Amino acid sequence: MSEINVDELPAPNVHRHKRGRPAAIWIVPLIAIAAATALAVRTYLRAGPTIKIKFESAEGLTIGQSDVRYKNVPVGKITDIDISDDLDEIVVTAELNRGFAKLAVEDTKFWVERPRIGVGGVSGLGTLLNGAFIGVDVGASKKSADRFTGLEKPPGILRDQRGSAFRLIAQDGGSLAIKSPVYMRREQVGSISDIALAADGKSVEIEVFIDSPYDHVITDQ
Amino acid sequence: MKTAADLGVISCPLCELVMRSPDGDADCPRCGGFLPRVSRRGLTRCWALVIAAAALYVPANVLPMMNTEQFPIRRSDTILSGIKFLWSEGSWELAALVFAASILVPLTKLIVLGFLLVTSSRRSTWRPRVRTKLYRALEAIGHWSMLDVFVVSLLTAVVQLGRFASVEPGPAVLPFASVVVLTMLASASFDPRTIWVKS
Repeated sequence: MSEINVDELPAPNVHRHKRGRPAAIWIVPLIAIAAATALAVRTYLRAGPTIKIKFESAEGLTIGQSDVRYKNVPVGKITDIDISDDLDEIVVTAELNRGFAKLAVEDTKFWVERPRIGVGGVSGLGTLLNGAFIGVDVGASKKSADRFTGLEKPPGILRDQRGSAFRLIAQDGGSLAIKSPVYMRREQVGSISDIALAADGKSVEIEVFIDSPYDHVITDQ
Repeated sequence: MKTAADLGVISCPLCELVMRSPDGDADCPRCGGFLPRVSRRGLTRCWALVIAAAALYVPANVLPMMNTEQFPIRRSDTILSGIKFLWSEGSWELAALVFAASILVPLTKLIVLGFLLVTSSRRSTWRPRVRTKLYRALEAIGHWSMLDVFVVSLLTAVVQLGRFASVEPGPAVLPFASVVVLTMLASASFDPRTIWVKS
């Protein structure tokens, strides 16, 4: 094998190549890091608060499917259902969407919305198809909270309902129930928001809620 | 063993003409093709692309890849949770396939590229043959990691049944595709000749 004579080889055409500044390539990782950070920040900001609500039963609730609704608008989703340490209750973990953190204040009420048929009519029919969801009624408090005890039945009065509440004491409850209508001249003016036996068991306390503007009609007489 | 660089010769990557090594940037006298020198510039380029890919690898795996709705269940899956789901549903082969294509391949690419870059940057003389083989393997597996992106884009187009079933791409698709493209560009800009440079 003969030794190659380097000098006999052709010479390349040397020229000043327009070289891009080698530093220019570092824009790529900079953009990548910026994009990754932006994605992380956006995800972090989008995640709302996580709250825990205690209920007696999880009937109809499904992880990842049932949502939390305020005035029928989905504001969050159930991420976990667990049983409390003493096995008495279930604990629902829900993640509220970003921007709805203000719903989770101390006296916010949560309840499970299921189909209900009563004297006051049929409610929650939509849940027959879509499954139960958790209803929310925001509280008046300014203090935020992340642990709640859920109500077993929907509250009779929602916070933003206008009107006045009255307490009646009766000998027996008849066949009245929550949401039973209250009539005046055969026109519905309100409904029963709560009904319960008095502590001493000798009477029944009925809480009625008269919607605005009919509540002005109620006088001492 | 002598390398071409030791002898002061270089060959044109296009027409394979052998010629003397130029001092600066040069063109081939026969075909006019650019003669890339065994230079650190390719290494810098490769470093930059690998770092960019590594940065995007995190959101690609943490964020959801695919949002599926199969009435009445809504799911939002990251790559890993999707694999877990497939596994728990009994589709082990599919889970293994997705794991290999979406986790193993990009991760191996990043690690191997990082290893080649570190050794080449330090002008290491450690087993150049093994490193060259690694480089070839890297080039070979490069195309096989876009699987997830294909799956998501196919499903998005096919499964659109309104309220009953729909598939939407998640925010991880873009970073994931970028990782694949960036690692491919990085391994292309890595000059395997730097493996053989003696210190």
